[in-house]
Amino acid sequence: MTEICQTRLSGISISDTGVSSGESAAGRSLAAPVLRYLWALAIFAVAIAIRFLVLPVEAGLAFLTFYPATAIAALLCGTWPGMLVVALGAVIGPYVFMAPFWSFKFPLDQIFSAATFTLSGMVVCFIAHRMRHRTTEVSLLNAKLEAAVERLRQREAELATSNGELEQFAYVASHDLRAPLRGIRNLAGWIKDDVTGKVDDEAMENLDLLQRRAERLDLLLEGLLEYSRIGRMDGGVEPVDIRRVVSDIADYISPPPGFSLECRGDMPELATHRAALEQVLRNLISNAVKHHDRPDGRVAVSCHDCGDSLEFSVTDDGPGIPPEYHESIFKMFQTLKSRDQVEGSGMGLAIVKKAVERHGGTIRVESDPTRRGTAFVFTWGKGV
Amino acid sequence: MGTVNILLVEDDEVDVKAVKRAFRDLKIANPIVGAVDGVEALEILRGENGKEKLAAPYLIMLDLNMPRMGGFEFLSEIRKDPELQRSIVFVMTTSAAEEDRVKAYDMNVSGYVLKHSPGHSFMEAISMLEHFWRVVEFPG
Repeated sequence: MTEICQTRLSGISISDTGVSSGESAAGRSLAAPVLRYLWALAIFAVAIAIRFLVLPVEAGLAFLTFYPATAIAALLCGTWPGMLVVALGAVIGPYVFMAPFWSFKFPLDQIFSAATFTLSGMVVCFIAHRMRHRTTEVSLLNAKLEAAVERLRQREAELATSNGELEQFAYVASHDLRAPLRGIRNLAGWIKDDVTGKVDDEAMENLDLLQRRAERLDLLLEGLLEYSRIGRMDGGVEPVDIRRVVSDIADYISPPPGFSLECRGDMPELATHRAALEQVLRNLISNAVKHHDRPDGRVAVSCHDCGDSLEFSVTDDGPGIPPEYHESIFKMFQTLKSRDQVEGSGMGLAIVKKAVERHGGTIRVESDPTRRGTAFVFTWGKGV
Repeated sequence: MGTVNILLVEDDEVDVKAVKRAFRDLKIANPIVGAVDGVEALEILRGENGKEKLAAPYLIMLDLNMPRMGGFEFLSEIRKDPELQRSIVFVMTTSAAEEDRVKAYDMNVSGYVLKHSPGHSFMEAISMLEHFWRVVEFPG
């Protein structure tokens, strides 16, 4: 304990005086204990002086100023300097201020008073010791806490940097990788044009596959690019007419003629990033159309107000999604059917999830395995 | 007016081939001179560094992202040069970014054409250029 106190004291004195060289620090830590006892002596001297000033010698109350002196010395200089004050007080008090005055004859009552003072002085020292202990512990804990907070702050900064780098990487990768890929698509097309009628069906089929795989890779990179762009290209907040957005989406994806796409119920007013909300709805609606197993499917969009946010549902009467896939469908590049059956990047729902979460919302899928149909339900914060 | 020469400033070999194939398929006979970046294009336009000076009239097809000197730097160079400032330039790029488009028109390009657009094919873009130089009068 004393060691900790000393290091702390010497630490403080070093930083106070701005001394930082190792040599002076060593000199300080040797001098510090002696200094503390000298300070205790000085405090005791002041106590005697005050006692002389305040009351005549014969007035009694021999230990009047020694109690505060003990407490101050014990708090400021340490337990043992405090005990020094107690010892000195126990001798000087009866010697000067108790009858017979200025005499080393100690009658029984003086010995009794001195003993009482010594005992209570020791209690004061003990309490001071505990208080110092507490203070040191608290300040140590504080220092630890501050260090932990600092580490956390650093981690946060690192995380932000690496997140930014990751997004930058995804953007650059998807953008720059597409350029040579376009070259490959062109070249495959030209070879096909040039050799048509000159090679066998097998070679033509392989060229077809080469072209289609290149197109698929382009689709994947486009999905990755779109994913990395979420939040960068949000544009401004504007009032959004949800019915209008849904009808624009219907025009854009142009579902088969028998398909119905409708808004069900009231559509509340909303001010938000139009492009982001449109992206989410477009992906969900086009999924519902693309993965439907009948040409006369029905897709409905509904929305209700939950106070701070809006809850949207995109419901279809398609084949449904088995419960074991309800989580994995939101991961990047995940598809439930082979890409040869349903062409897609597998990025759609990952994009939806990221965009929804950026707007303070959550998304879940509801699909009862005993019945047909799927509902994607997501919330959208009104504040953003 | 004599035959219009085409200066194709493009660093991607496949894209150069794409232009040449389109010329061949559309039976366009105008001579194409290639430059891999802005620096080489300037040398050809000024007849510097052992290059033969390109004869007028000419039309420049310009890519934006190139090594050494990109499309925008090249544009600001020729617009500063009294001999080259009236050059007719079409930007042919993959960049659909709004800021690139605006910047290009600010530098007085005659058109901004996307190499790959959902709205038209590359052949249509090249055939539009051919109509352009057949119909439009070039600066002297």
